[in-house]
Amino acid sequence: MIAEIGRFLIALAFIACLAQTLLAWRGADQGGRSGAARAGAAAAEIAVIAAGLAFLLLIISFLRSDFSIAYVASHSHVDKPLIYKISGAWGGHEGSMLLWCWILALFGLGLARIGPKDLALRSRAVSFQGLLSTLFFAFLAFASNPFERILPAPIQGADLNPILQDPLLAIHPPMLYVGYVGLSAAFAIAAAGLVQRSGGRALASALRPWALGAWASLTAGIALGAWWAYYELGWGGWWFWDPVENASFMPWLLGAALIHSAIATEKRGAFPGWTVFLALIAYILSILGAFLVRSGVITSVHAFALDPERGVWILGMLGVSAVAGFFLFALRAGSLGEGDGFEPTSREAFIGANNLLLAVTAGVVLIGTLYPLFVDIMGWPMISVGPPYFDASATPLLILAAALMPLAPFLPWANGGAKPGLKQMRAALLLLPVAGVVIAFVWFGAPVMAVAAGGVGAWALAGAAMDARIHWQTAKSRTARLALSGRALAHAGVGFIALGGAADASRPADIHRALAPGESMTIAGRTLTLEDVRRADGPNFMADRATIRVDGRSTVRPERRFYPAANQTTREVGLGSDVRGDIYLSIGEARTREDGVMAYEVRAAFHPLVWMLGLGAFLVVTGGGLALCARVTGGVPAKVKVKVKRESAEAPETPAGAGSGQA
Amino acid sequence: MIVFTLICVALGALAAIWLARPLLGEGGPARMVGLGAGAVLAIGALAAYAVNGMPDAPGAPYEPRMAALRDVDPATLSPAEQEEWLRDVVRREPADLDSRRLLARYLASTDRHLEAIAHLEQALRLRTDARLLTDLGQIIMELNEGVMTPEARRAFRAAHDEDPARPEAAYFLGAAAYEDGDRNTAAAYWGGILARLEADDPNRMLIASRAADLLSRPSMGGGDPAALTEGAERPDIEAMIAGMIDGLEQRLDDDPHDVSGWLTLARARMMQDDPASAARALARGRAVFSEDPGARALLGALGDAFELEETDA
Repeated sequence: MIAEIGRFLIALAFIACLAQTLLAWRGADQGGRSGAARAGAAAAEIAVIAAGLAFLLLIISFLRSDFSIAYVASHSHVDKPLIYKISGAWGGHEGSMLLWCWILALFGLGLARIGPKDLALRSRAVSFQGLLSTLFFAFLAFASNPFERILPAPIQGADLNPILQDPLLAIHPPMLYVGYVGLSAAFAIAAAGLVQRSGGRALASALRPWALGAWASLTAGIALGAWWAYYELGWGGWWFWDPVENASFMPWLLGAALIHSAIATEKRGAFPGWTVFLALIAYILSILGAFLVRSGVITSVHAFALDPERGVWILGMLGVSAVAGFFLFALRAGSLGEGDGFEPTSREAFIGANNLLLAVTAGVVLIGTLYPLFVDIMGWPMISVGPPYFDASATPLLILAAALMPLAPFLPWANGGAKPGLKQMRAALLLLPVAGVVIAFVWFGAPVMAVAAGGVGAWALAGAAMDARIHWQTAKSRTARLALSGRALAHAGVGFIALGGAADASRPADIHRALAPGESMTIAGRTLTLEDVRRADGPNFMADRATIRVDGRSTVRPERRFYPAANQTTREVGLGSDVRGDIYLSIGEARTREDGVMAYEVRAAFHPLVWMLGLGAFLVVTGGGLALCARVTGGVPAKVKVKVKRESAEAPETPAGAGSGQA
Repeated sequence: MIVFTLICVALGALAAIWLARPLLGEGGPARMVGLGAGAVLAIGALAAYAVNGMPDAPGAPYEPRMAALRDVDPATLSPAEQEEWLRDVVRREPADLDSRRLLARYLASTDRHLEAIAHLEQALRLRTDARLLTDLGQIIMELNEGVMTPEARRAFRAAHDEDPARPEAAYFLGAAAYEDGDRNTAAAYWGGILARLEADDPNRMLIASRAADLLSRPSMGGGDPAALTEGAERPDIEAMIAGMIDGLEQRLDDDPHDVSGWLTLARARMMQDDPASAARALARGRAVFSEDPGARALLGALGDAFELEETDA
């Protein structure tokens, strides 16, 4: 019965989203404070509660191991640890789609409660969010229902893919979905603004916090995914330009462009059309990502089970969203207004240049990701586009963007003039650490691109430090200081990521050796001694755990696991971390060597400064969070306030209970 | 079904009221819109559910299903249910070594050797047991396509040390010795089993005939059999073989305490189409090993295989 109630709740959420779309639209037509607008918000509440309850029932079904539910039967097992029984609820396509839909509904409710202050715009945005939710809930209810039954029920489940049985994978998808789906709120506000003919500044002001929150969450999701890939897949890579990675990276790039473009639009009225266009396309690329991951058109370690029928559904949703968004944009972009002019040496100009670089990078990644599909459709010989293409095309663009990044905070708005900024920056001082890092990378024989990335990383770090130091004195209010901290941390994070990535690209070659207990090998000046290998079985796996001593001091314990229910073997990497980097060890099968001795295949790698990647991502997310705090607690800039006030004066009063949040 | 319907109707009605509430207070056409929207929500949700819904389909959570299976005779269950039945016992009573052993054997029979080995190793952590060790050795051999690996050998050795009377471990240790070319040790293991087993034990006959067959095969001393006869004409080959057999008999005259030698000689004589000499060789062997019932059983088994009358030396 639980399964059928869950299925009913999904149906209820689907109809509620439809009601949200229609009622909120009518409410927007009536100025955003009528009963229809409130009913639209009530529909969003119903969708959130129904989808949330359905998700809870799905988790309960996992905990009860109800294998009459096909999704549970194919993603769980009685012996699976509790945490993975819970995370199994979003470990496969159907369950993760329910989570996606729930988050969509939550953002719909968020817009209804703390959306744009202009109530008509808010109601229209709620309506658009309802439309997006309706599409996805329809897909969930009719093509990907997680409560689909399998009768007679198997006595045992097939278990969750062992590589997904990892604590990080329990939180990576929710973070990623908040990022993907959060961009839907920016889309909805942008589309609503086009319908309402809201000015560019007001629109940028309304959508920026949503874009900021979504982008910070997307950053966290991508970083967690990269970390997971680093230690779980067993080959030490954290980014491989895999199509699914690219699917998340493209909205991230456009999201980064959007939050910066929105600042320029909000403060100076610059790029209004571009900002709205980015808000539309960033979410459209999120749906494209969902299509790539879930349709089966591409092969990837991250992809869900292949199902072309689902692909057609998602393609349909992609089409509806894209056509609706771009049609509105083509029709109403003129209503966004034009900003004040600016000089080529102004802050707007640098933000614009960086936006261009980020957008071109996203385009380059899009072409590389979709080209094999295009080739396949055309019936040409199959090809794969991999790291060589992306390293040669996207990486230089990103290095260039990172090189420009520290300059903008030192440049004035509008009329520009680089001289005072450069003076303030003490550019020569910034070049010292850059030179130091470049020399160090060259000394260690790093590739050219890594030297460039390392130098840019140092440049960004020095720029962020100087930005914080100089502008802290002029930032008097708490909000200004929060915003400054957010900016400096996020930019420093980018610097750390560039440094960490450059260092990792310069790492020594991996070593593979068959070691018997007591034998040693050396990598990066460290002596690794295999002490023993023992059984270390878990609740649903069998494992051989090696104890490897590093330099006679610390020990690292990689494992080789076999999950019988899934009939799959995994390597659990052992990491020995210090400030210099990670000793990365994995262990393979026991084999008899040519000399007749039983030995274990040990793969050893050294990843220098890899911790900088994690620190960088953490700083970017923290910076995004602080900027969001500053934006939410500090209110909108004075210029926008004036405009919003004028619009509010024309609009009816805020209804009671409609929320007093700031956007 | 009734409870489910009531729950759905209640949920639908609650949602409808919640949706309509803001509009009902407005009066006029808005009120009608509210009522209509509420009704559409509830009815629409039921309709959307009905597209693929299965209101009659019961849930099947694991625990109640397993509780029901526990009361059923396992023999009446499907193979998947039998496996789960065993797993359930092992989960509830980890120290029940018999169930764990049965599960391991079932898993091995369905080509899931690694998991079977893991279960046996877990059982062995609880108690050292010759049967478990023997099963472990056998499953390791199955996993390695019949090859006696060092791990399998260790398991059989431990099983034999634990309970020397168990025939399985001794049989496989004999096979390991035979693979190593140590026929005397192999004969000692196999003869030991035969000496311990009752005369009417069906396993005794099987082991005896298999052991006699193996031990009677000519030993090439590690050389290539083809190399011995390479380039030789057929009469030369026959003469060469006859010479080798005579040489073997001579060696046994000098050192008669070699049961494998007597078995090989008897087999060779049969190959020469000389059953009388073969029977004589077996009789001589029996005389030499008159105090060793195991060796006598091996010699007897070969005689039975060749349908030779038992004669005196």
